[in-house]
Amino acid sequence: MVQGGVSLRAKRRGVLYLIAVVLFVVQVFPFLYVFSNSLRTPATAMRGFALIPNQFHFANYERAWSMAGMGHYFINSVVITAISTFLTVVVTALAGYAFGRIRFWGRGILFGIVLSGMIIPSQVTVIPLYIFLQHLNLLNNYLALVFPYIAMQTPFSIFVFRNYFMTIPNELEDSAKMDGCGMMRTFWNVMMPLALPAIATVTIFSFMSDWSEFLYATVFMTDPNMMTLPTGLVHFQGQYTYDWPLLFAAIVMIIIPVLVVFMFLQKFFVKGLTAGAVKG
Amino acid sequence: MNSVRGKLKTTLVGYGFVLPALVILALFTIYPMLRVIQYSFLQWDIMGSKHWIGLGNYLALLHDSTFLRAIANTIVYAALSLIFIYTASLLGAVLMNQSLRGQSIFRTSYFLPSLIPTVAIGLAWQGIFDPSNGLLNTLLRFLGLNSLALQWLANPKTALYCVIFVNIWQWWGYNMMLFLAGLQTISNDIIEAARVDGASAFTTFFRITWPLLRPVSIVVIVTTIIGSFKAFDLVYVMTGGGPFEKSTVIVLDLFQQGFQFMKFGYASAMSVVLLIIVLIWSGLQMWFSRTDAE
Repeated sequence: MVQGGVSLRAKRRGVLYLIAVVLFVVQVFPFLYVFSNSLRTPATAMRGFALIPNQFHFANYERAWSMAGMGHYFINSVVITAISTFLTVVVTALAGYAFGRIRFWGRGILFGIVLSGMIIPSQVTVIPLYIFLQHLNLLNNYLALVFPYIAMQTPFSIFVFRNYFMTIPNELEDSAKMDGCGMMRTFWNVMMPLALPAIATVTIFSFMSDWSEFLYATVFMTDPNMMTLPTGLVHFQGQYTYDWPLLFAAIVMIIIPVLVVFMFLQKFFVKGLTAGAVKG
Repeated sequence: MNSVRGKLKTTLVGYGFVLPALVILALFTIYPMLRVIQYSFLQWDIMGSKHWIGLGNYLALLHDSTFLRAIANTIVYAALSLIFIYTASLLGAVLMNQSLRGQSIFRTSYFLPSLIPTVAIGLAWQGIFDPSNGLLNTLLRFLGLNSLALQWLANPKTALYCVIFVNIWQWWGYNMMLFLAGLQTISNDIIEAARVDGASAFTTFFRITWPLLRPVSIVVIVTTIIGSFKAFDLVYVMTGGGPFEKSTVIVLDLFQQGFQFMKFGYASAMSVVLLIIVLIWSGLQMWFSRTDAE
């Protein structure tokens, strides 16, 4: 009787593990497939299911980087993502601090406007933005993506910073003021170092969004010299259709930085991922 | 007197702090949003001349078979994504809440695709769906199912569903993390009390756990639906809306009308339709969470 109960339990656990492993394979196999085939010669790629190539053929990466221009796209992406993410953190930390801790007239209304920006889809504004950027003569310029990318992240990031700054006790700020710090000094020297978790969350979200963004990048950067990785990848696919190892090498190049950032900031990733959703 | 001056100074400092962010938001989100509404009432030809036509663009949309097809496809995309993402993420969260060994590896692998740029995901799956050498057809032929080895992305019957499948694959794990975070806020006492009262695991889940997850459910449902209505990257990369517009969606149609045919007024009307749909869902979300809070 008791034994029967135990084996039923064990069976149940077995089934659970089986499901978990099947899901694991379904989620991970495509990445291994891409990586494995990026290391094969075009003649040996996409044959059968063996994940480990007979010999590692790194030439695809060289070809993708130099010949196919991925190196160029990579640099554009790094520059645009770095500038956008950095500026997003700076301007939204300032604003979040003010909304959370400075009692100024009109604060409620302005914060309402910021929040309403959260529900405007970036896809809706692509046409007027294109025309606006054309007027400003900014198309095919890094700024054509930097400003819209900051704007895209602004509402959520301000929200994160505001909520975080609201939790910091007043005493710290007061003692800084006693020591004769101005508002700006207090902000930079006292508050910002305390806000590291909020900075991490905002950095992660901005980085991920800027690194992946595709629609604006396609429309605002038509000059191949200015393309970012996602648009470059598609442009590149048009030229090298069915050279799968080359394409897969390019895909690995766009994925690696995300994985690196993920590994370093894993703790904040999962927290940030679920931020807001549970609290509502 | 002093306090009024102090208040004024505080206000000026406050404005100084919020100004940079607000200027960027105003110029690059709010101003374009107001503009798109204005543009949607204009006839705008390729030469750049424009004139007011009132609701003309909207009336034309009602008879535009491609746009109607895009709306229908988007609804299918949203409905299937919702059903599968919701179910998989909820059950996945329950599974990951059973303290299995190695669960952090499982968890990470499940939401990993949501971190990867969608363009890369789309291209990778294009390789998998490739009719001659792709993994899927290789596997099917290996199993002797040659008749099932289709031209997945070029077949009007399967193209849209392949894209939807990849969307589900990419996002269910992310939503699972949300449910998991929700599950971890439910106190064990409640569950145990129910079990002591003789409720089965099934009953406990449906009567207690699931209703308590309602706030997360609302977030998952609304973000999945809104995300589906904004779908573009995956469709553009995997099928380009083809074959024969069988897999086109709203944003893709908007993109083509705007930037391939330069019909800015017409594409703006499509944008406004999209904006209204998204606003309705956001409104519903707020309404639901507010009635919950009361």
